[in-house]
Amino acid sequence: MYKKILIVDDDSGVCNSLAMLLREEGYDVDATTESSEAVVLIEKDRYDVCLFDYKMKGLNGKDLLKITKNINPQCSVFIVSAMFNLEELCQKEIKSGLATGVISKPFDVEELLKKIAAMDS
Amino acid sequence: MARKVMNLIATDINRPIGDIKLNIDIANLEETILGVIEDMAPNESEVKDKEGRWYSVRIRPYRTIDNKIDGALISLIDIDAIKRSQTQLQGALSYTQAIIETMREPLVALDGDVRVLSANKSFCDTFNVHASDIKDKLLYELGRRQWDNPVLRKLLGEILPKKNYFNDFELSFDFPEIGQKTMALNGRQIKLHGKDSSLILLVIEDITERKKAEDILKRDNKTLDKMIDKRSKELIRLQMELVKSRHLSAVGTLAATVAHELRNPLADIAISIHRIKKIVKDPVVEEILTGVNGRVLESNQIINDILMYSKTTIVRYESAKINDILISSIDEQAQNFPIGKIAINEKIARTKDLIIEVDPIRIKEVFLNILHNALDAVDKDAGIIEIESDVNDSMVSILIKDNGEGIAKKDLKNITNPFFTTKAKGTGLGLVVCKQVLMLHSGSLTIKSVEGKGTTVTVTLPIHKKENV
Repeated sequence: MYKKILIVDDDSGVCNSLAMLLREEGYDVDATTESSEAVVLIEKDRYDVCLFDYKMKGLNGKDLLKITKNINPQCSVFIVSAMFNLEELCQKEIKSGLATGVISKPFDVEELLKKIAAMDS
Repeated sequence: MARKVMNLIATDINRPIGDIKLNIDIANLEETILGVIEDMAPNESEVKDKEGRWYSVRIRPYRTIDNKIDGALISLIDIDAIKRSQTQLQGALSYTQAIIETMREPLVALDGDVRVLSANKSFCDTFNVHASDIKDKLLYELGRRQWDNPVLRKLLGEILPKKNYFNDFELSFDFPEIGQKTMALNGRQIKLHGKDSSLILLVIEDITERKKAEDILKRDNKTLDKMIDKRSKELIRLQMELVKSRHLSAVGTLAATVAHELRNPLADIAISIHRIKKIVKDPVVEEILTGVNGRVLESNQIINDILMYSKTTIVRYESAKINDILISSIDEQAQNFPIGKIAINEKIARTKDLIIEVDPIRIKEVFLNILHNALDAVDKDAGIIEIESDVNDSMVSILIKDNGEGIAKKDLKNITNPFFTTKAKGTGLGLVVCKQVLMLHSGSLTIKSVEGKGTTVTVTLPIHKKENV
């Protein structure tokens, strides 16, 4: 079964490129730059992996993480961000296991693909 | 007049004088008269009549034409007016005497030749003399010649005769038991009527205490001026530091924003490179793309450094044990660095259990950096690093000494210059940033070094956080 992936990032360039990349790898990808639209999508579909940008207008990555986990605890959520002290900011979520991991931008693409592949569907 | 004054009447003639009741009270009149006749010598006295008027009574032997003593002649002169004024004068003199004696200031009266006529009690007590000892002596001879001062000589000799007075002449005296005293002299010359001579009055005031107070005030003023000057300079320096700090803060925020914003495009480029690589199976293209990717990573590292530098403008205070931070830094550095035979001596007992308000993460980074430099500098086999802590009322200080290669004098000045460099050392912070972190805590970092001998880095931190306005 193909993994369903949701990408939420307010930078359209990153959002698009990441979506294209993952589609080319064979994944079923939904992507949006609006966190409000993301909520709708989360409620509608069951995603295997989510990649949320940390800093966004409206709901931020952490908020989306909580919402997703409420609806679908099985989902693997990664916080992807350009924030410098990302690990510090998500300390609690990482410790508690709520977030599967954090990924700093710009990331090593190979590494990212490996991580996603490692997630159980 | 004799009739009136002595109460004589015509019928008194030829009566014995002893029998007559006179108005004037002359003691032993008969005896005195007989004495005058016998001794052939006159007698003078002053007497008062019943009304209190004064007379001068003169009893002279009466000589006849043949020069024989044949009685006595009593003459009376009215000296009442004179006597009265004499009494008044006496009174005035007593009054003056009393004033002079009661005066707390020493006073000495001199004649025109500057010889002592008299001195009051205060003078005698102050200068430890007896009035009788100094009388007629030259003022300049007194008290081991302490009065022999050329300016005083001029004042008494030249100025007084012309000007009649002088005020506030200061003279220093050295008293054997009491020590040095400063006196202020006021002088006045009085020309005595009818005589060529004059009277000089010298009044002395002990102004030692006043002078001392003046000196203290002058000195205090100087000290105060110095303190104000120092404080002003300090204030200006602090203001400049604040401006610099604010500026850095602004730059920091800008840097953080720019860095953050650059990361998205870089992420996009990285993803795109990967996708191209997948599509275009051409070794040349692949080589080019690998190169481009390398530049992406490089750009990201630069951004990291910028963010590291800018991050330090934010201080998140917590209460933490300084020794815990130190020990944690030492342990971490020992793990990451090949220690080998380097000895690390901890002398931090003085700050055991001391809790201070700092950003523990930032301060740890500072110590990590300094330790890294120390470990780098020392000989791997004979290196000694000492970490010493001390504390007073408001500040804690940590010294990190090493016996390594030291820093050349010319480099010492630049080592902590706020000159931004992308080549951050050690854990990502250079000494530049260390100093900044400490500055933000209102602490300090100082470096002492002798090339070839070693380096000592001193970190000071306030125990309680200081809010920057």
